[in-house]
Amino acid sequence: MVENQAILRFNGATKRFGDFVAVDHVDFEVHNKEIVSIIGENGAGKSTFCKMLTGVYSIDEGEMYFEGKKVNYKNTTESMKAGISMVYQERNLVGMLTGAQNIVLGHEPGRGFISERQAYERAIEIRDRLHLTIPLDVPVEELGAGEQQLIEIMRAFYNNPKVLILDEPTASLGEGEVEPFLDFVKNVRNTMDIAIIFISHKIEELFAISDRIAVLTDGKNTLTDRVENLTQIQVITAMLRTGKSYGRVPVAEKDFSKLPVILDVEKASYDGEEHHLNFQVHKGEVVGFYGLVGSGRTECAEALFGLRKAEKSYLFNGDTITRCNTRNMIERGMIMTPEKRANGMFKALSLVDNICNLFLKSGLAGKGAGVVKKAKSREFADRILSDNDVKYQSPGQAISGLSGGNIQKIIIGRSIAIENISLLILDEPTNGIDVGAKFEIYQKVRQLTDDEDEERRIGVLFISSEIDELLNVCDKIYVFADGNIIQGFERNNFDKQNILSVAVRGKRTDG
Amino acid sequence: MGKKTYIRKKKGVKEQLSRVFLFIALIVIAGIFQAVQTRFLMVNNIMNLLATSSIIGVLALGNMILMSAGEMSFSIGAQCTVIGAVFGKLLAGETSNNLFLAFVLSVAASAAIGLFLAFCTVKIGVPTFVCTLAVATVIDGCTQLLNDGTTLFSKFWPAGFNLMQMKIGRLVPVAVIVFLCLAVITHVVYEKTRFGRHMYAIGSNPTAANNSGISVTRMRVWAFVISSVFFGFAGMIAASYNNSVSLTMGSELMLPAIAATMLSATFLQIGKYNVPGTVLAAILMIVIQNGVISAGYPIYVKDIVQGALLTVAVAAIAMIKEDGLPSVKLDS
Repeated sequence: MVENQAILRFNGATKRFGDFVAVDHVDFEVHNKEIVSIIGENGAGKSTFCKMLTGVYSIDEGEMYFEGKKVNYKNTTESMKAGISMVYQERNLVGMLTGAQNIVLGHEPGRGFISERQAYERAIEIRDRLHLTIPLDVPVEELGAGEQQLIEIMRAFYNNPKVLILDEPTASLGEGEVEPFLDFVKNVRNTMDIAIIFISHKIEELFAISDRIAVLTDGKNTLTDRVENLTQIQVITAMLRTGKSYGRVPVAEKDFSKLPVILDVEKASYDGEEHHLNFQVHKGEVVGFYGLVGSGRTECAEALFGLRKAEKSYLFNGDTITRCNTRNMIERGMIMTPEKRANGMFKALSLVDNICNLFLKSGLAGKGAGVVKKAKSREFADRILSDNDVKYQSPGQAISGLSGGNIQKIIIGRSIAIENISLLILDEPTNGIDVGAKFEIYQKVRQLTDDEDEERRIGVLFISSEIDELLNVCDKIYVFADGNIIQGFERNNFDKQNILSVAVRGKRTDG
Repeated sequence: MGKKTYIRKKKGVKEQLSRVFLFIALIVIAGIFQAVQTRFLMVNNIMNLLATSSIIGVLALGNMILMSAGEMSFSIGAQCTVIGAVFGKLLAGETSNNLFLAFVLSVAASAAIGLFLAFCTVKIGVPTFVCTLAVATVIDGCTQLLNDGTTLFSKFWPAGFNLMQMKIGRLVPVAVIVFLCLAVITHVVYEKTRFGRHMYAIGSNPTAANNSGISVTRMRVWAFVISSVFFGFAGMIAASYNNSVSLTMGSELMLPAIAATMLSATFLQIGKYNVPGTVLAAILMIVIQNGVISAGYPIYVKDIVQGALLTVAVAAIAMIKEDGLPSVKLDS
C-alpha cells in the first residue's frame, strides 16, 4: 500500500569526518503527512544527517531511498529537483529584495527580462496555499524574524517539495512567535501532501508537534518511536551520552557556607533582555555552567567580564560592579579564557610572546614606550611553561605548532598568573582536545581550588556542553536555558538525567 | 490561522529623509555655486559638467557592478588609463586609422584584464584588495611603457578620435549620450533581468544565492570582466574627450568614482548600489570640482567637500543598516 510506504528511507546512514564518526549507521524513515522530529544534544549529528539527505554531504555508507528508488544526491540542486527542500538554520534571504523576489530567487520567471508580475503571482499562490498573510512586496530586511522565517519556508515550497526539512526553525523566533509557527507547521502537515523533518533541541516543542521522534546521541540513533508511546524522560534518557570513561578527579569536601563569596550575581540585562542569573561563586569552588548551544552561558560570562555591553550590578570580592571593561576586571582579579582557543592566542607569535603579552604592563616591559625586557620575559615564560607541564620544543617556537591541549594549558597557565587572581572563567576549555589532556585540565582546575594553602585558592567558573566533565570537576552546576539560570545543583545532588532534563525543557525539576 | 501578529521594524523619518539625501545635496551644492558664480548654471557650463561627469560616471558604473557583487577594486584608475593608452597607441601610427578595430581590440584588452583579475581572486583565492593593488602597479608600469613615460598624444590620430568632444545639435557632447546609454542599459539589466538580480544576490548574501542554485563563482567572474570593460570604456572616452592620455588620467578619477558608487547606496533604497544614484553622485562629484574651480577657490576645497560628503553618507548608512553594504561589511 502507498500509505505504508515511506517516502524517504535511509538505511545505515554513516558519515565520517576523518576519524570522527558524525553519523553512525542511522536507520530513518518518514512518511507522507507525517512530522518526524530529530532531537539530540549539540554535536549529536542532527544537522549532518539532514545535510546527507540534501546532498550537501556525500554518503560514506548506507542506502537512501526516495519514493522507493535508491538515490544519491551530489548537491542541493539535485535533491531540490527531486522534491527535498531544506530550510537552513542560518538566515538565507537577500535583505534588499522583496519577499516575492526572494521566493523566486534562482528560478525567476520570464525570458530575458524578469516578469515581476508572474514572480509575484507565483509567490502569492504559494502564500495562499500555506494560508499566510505576509506582505511580499517589501524588502525582507524590513520584516521581523518570524516573518523572514516564514518567507524562507515559502521559498522551500517553490518546487512543491515532498519532503521538507526544518533545521532548528524556532531558534531565531521570539517568545510570541514560536506557538503560531508550530501551528502553521502542523497545518501544513494536515492540509498538504508532504512529509516534514523537524530538527530541534527543545523537547516541549517536539512533543507538541511531532508524530514520531528520533533521538540521535553521538551520531547513533538511540530511540525512535511514535510520540504517544514516549515520555519526556524516556527521550532525555536516550539523549544521554554513554559517557567516555574519564578518570575521576579527586575533589576536596568543603563547607561553602563558611567560605567567602567571590562573585555574587542576581540578574543582568544584555542583548535587549533581562536575564535571571542567580548564582554565587565561593573561594575554592568550581561552578559549572551547563546548557545547550544558544542557552546563554557564554553571554552571561561575557557580560560579567565586560566583553558584552550589559546593564548589571553584581558583587565581586565585596565590591559592587556596575560598569566595567575587561582591563579593569583583570586588574580586579577576574579573567576569562575564550571559547575558541584561536581567540586566546597570537597564532604566529612564539610561546614567550603569547605568555608575556598579558603582562607587559606589570614589569616585563619598561616604563614609557614599554621596551620589552627580554631576559625577564623568557624567565617568566619558562616558569609558566614548566608550572603547567606544557610539552614544547623551544620557548621561541610559534604557538600554532602545539597541540590543542598544550595551547589550552598555556592559556590557562598565563591567565592564572595575573596578580591577585580570584576568579578564573573557562569557556569550553576542553573543546576538541584529547581525553588525557582533558583530565590534566580537570586536575589543574581542582588544584587551583583545592590548593593546600587556603589563601591561594581561587574560584573557577567552568562553562561546558559536556555534562560528564561538569559532573566530574564541579562543586555546583547551574543549568541555563533561554538566557536564564533555571536551576542549580549541589554536588551531592548531581543527577545527570535531571540536569539534562532541565536544560532541554527549560523548567525546574523538583526533587 | 487568521489572526497573527508579527513584529514589523519601523521606518523612521531619519531613514526616509536620507533616501533622497543625495538629491538634496546636489541641489544645495549647485545652488551655492550658482549664488557665488552666476554663470555656473548656464547651459554651456552644464553641458561641460555633464561631459566631464560622463568619464567618472562610466568608471563609477563599472565599479558599481563590481561592488554590487561584493568585490572592491583598487585598479580601476589604472585600468582606465591603460586602456585609454592602448586605444591611443593603436591609432597613433601614420597608417593605422581604423577606429572600429582599435575600439574592439581595446575592449578585448580590458576584458582580458578583468579575466586575469577574476582568475587571481576567484580561482586562486588572492584577496581582491591585495590582488587589485598589485595588478594596478603592473598596469601603471605598462601605461608608462605605452606612453613613453609621458602624456600620450599623436598628430596622426584620425578625426574620429575626438568623437566624444563633438556636440550633437551644437549642444550635447557625444560623451554625455554614451554615458546615459550605458547607464540606461546597466539600469535595465540590474532591475529587470535575472543576471542583474543574481549579481545583487551574490553580493548581498552569497550563501543564500548559492542555496538558490546561483553559481556565485561564475557571477563573480562576470562581474570582474564586465566592470573591466566599463573601465576601458571610461579610458577611451577620456582619451577621446581630452585628446590625450596623461599618466594620471585614471588615478585622479578613481577615488571620486569609488565615492560615487558608495554614495549611490544612500539613494532611494539604502544599502543597494544602484544606477540612478551612481549617475547622480558622479554628477555631484563633478559639480563640486567644477564649482570650486569656477568660484575661484583653491582646488583642495574640492577634496575636502567631496570627502566630507562621502563621510556623512557612509556614516548615515552605517547608522541605518547594521550589517553594512555588499563589499563594505560593517562587522561589529
